[in-house]
Amino acid sequence: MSKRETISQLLDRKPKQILANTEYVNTGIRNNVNTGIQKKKKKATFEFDPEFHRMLKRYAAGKEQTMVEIVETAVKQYMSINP
Amino acid sequence: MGVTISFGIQKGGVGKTTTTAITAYLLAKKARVLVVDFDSQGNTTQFLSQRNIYDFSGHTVLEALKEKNPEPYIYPLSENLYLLPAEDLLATFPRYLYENYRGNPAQLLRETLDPVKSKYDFVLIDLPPNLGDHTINGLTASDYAVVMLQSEPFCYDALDRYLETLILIQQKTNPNLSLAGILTVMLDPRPMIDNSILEKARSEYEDVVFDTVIKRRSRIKEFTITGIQDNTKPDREALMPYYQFVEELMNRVKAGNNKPVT
Repeated sequence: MSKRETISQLLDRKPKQILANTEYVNTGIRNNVNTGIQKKKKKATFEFDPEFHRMLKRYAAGKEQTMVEIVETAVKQYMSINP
Repeated sequence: MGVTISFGIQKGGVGKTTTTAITAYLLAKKARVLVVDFDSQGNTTQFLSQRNIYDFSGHTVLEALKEKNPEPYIYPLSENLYLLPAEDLLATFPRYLYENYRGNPAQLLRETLDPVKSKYDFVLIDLPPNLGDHTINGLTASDYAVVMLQSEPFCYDALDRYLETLILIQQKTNPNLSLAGILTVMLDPRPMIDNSILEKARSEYEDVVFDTVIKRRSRIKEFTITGIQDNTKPDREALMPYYQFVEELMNRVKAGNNKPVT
């Protein structure tokens, strides 16, 4: 097949389709999918003030998340606001 | 009405901005044209407005996208030529798409431009030199794509990948997208390699390659400083290949496919 033939679908002008505007709705439901692929993690050790550590532990338990998940989310948000 | 044509390839410095700006200038002699500068370098903005791009800060295509309303940010440059300008902050567009925008991230530029397209005969989009969200949005908003081919090896290598991107866009986000053609630019006729790249392109892509070849001319570079002019003989000689390109482009667009009108 020639290179021109490989792009033939770009060359024929079809009747124009009207594309509807789309809107995605964030349902707030998080679905975690176990793909079976384990991402390699890098260990990092941080020492927290004992009071802060207790506060973080209680907060994470209340949200049914690990302390690492809370910290990761918080740091990512901070970094996106403060590039 | 509102035929939208993007000018792109992921290689930088090949003449996208120059070609977009001069094409817009020439089309505006007879038709109403909106130019969308979709490259955060803002070179099209600077070229056509002859102003510092920061004069437009806060009033650019980025604001138009965030409000999904381009009207307050479209600047008249002449009776028939209008500009939706850009400056550095357009580089934050992907961040806005994925952190704040709730719609389809590929469709935002199209949805922003759709309400105003009918006011123009042509909408030209200058795309940045990459295959990221700006280019995806630009191609998704386009009826036609002009692919720029600088006659040098890295750009030729980029060509296949850009055409694959067009096919993906057509399949996934914009079934209306067609390839207007491949425009060879900045050809220096002296080195053999420039001519061999042109020959290879014509051999592989046949009539998809525009007959017009834009050759390197210092007067074109001067236009970026002085603004586009066609007062003198050197001006007109420099613009002649662009006149020819615009004629070929219009034939292909009016024919509704990339086949030259016979």
